Amino acid sequence: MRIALTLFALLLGMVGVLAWTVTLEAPANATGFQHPDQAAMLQGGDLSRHDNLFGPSLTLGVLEIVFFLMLMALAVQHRDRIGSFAGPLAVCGAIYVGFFVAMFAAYRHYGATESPALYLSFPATTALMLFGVGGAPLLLIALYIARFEQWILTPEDRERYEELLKANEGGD
Amino acid sequence: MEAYRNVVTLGCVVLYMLACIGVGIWALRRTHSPKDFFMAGRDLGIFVTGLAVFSSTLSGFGFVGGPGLVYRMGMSSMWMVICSSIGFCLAFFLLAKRLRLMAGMRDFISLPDAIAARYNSESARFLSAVAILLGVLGYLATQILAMATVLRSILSKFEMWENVSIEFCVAFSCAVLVFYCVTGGIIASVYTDLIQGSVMIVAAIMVFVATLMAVDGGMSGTVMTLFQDDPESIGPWGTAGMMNCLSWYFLFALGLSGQPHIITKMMMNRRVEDARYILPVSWIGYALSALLWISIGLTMRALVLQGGHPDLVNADDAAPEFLQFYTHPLLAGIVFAGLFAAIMSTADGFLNIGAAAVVHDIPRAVRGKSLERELLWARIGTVVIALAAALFSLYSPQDLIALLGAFGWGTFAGALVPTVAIGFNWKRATAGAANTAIVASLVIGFGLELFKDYIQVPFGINGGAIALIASLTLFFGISLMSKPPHIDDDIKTVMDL
Repeated sequence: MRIALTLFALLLGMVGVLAWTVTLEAPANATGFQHPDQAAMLQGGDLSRHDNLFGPSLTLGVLEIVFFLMLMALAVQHRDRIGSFAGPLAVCGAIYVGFFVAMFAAYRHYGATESPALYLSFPATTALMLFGVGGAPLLLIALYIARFEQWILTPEDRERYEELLKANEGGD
Repeated sequence: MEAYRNVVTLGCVVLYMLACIGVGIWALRRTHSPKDFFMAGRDLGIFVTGLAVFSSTLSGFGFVGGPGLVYRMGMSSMWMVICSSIGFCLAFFLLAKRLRLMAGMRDFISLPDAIAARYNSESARFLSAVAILLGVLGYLATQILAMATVLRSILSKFEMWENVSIEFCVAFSCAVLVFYCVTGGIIASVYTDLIQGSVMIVAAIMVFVATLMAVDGGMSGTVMTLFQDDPESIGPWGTAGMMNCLSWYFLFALGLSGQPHIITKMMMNRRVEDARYILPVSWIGYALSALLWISIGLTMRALVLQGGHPDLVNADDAAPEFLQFYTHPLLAGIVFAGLFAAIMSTADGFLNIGAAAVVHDIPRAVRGKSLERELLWARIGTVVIALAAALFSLYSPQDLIALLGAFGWGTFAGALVPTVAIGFNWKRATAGAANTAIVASLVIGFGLELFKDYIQVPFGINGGAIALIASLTLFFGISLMSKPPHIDDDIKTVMDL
């Protein structure tokens, strides 16, 4: 029940952030503008278009990530399993949120130089998005594979399921 | 070889279509019951299921629309791609075990079967089947039109087919799709997905390598060209901005757990324990195929900015133009085959679940029992749905097609993420909350699209994400305020495993 209430609270938080965002004045280039020379391209223009969005966006992103992590806790929560899963989930979650926040921090200084340092061919903030935010959940995939019989389907679960099948006298 | 580019392309596409027809004939001999037709006898292996899950996720959008978005907006649409890691993770954590266990115990042959059992509610079955059917028709219409448009662009390069009509192309491409879907049902669908997924991966890797060679300095050279023109385009938010990107991230990550053509496949694997390895197979397949999405879009943008390629009139021309001018004819042929593979691997899954909704779920909800001779009706239903979608794609106003196409991912997400992904893990979730979530997602998603000229959502926040957050909030709120529902003992036991 605690996890469900936490999820509900996170959703209300997201609703609150969206409501906050609606009250902000959107600059003309908030979602880009037509490229002056290329017919089918847009440009983003000045980074100042995001000045009033840092707070809501950072908050929304963190809420989204925490929501995802709590959903995984909901999926694993049965019996006492959440106890042993909580630690690794928290560590993976900290790394995941950490990369997201680092991406924001790097973006603050983005565009300051004419020739940014590239990491795996991308500017730091973009590399953190692609490989950090995109890559952090791979830790959770690795946990799913490595600890499947501990957290997802234990031998006791399997036995209980076989008993259910016999009792139902059906299925496969 | 260059002189034969069009012949090679057509040849690759024809070979691929013949392979699909061959699989259809092979699968016909293995399809003897509705369980075979809709659930592949619940006997699929790890690799087949993994490739089927990923290839159903990545439609033709990933081969044409995606590169077009990157060309137009820079890195913005990458949020739809990087979310795949957390998206597949969520889907497997939340659903792979419970759906498969429940399906084995109660012999489900459709997702609405599972919903009806979980909530003890035929109204939930009916509403979910209707939501699936509406989404299927819209999605299928756009996929059929995409297939036909690509086929016409290939055929029109030959003198004898210079003026080939779009109707002919719709009929031809639908004929191949319907043939293997009717003969072999989901068995044909997943085994063509095996071919389709493999072609998509090979095509994407080869195209990625080709893009690295098209611009001086490879990807670094491409990135610096984009940076010098517009730093935001190669920044993490692209041109679309923070809120737009974050709304896409939420919708596409969590929404994967609500896509019926994807999660239905989680009921088909031979052993529930196989989910342990199906997850990484699915994600790796998707990640490799998505290389094409990012690489073509960025490379074409750089080539045009450098003056090395004429300006594009339409961003969706990025992929076809790259294949035409910067790849070996054989690679272009493989990629075009991969494009058909991507479209058909999604369309065949939709056809199958649409047929299940029409001949299995809605009759059960209304009459209390399935139709007699269900396998025969399943085949007829497949043809009827394909025909309806094809006619819809040809003769309906484009706005209506776009409306129902937009009805796709977002509406499935809003309707089925709360109902299935949350509801199958939370015993307090009620049928009333599930029904409300389904209706709310249809109303909000449909409404925002229909009245988009009047309702301006600021900062480009995606309407589907708004619908998903709204339906989730209603789902939790109503469930928490309601009495704990009755759940059958066997379902409750599985939810406790």
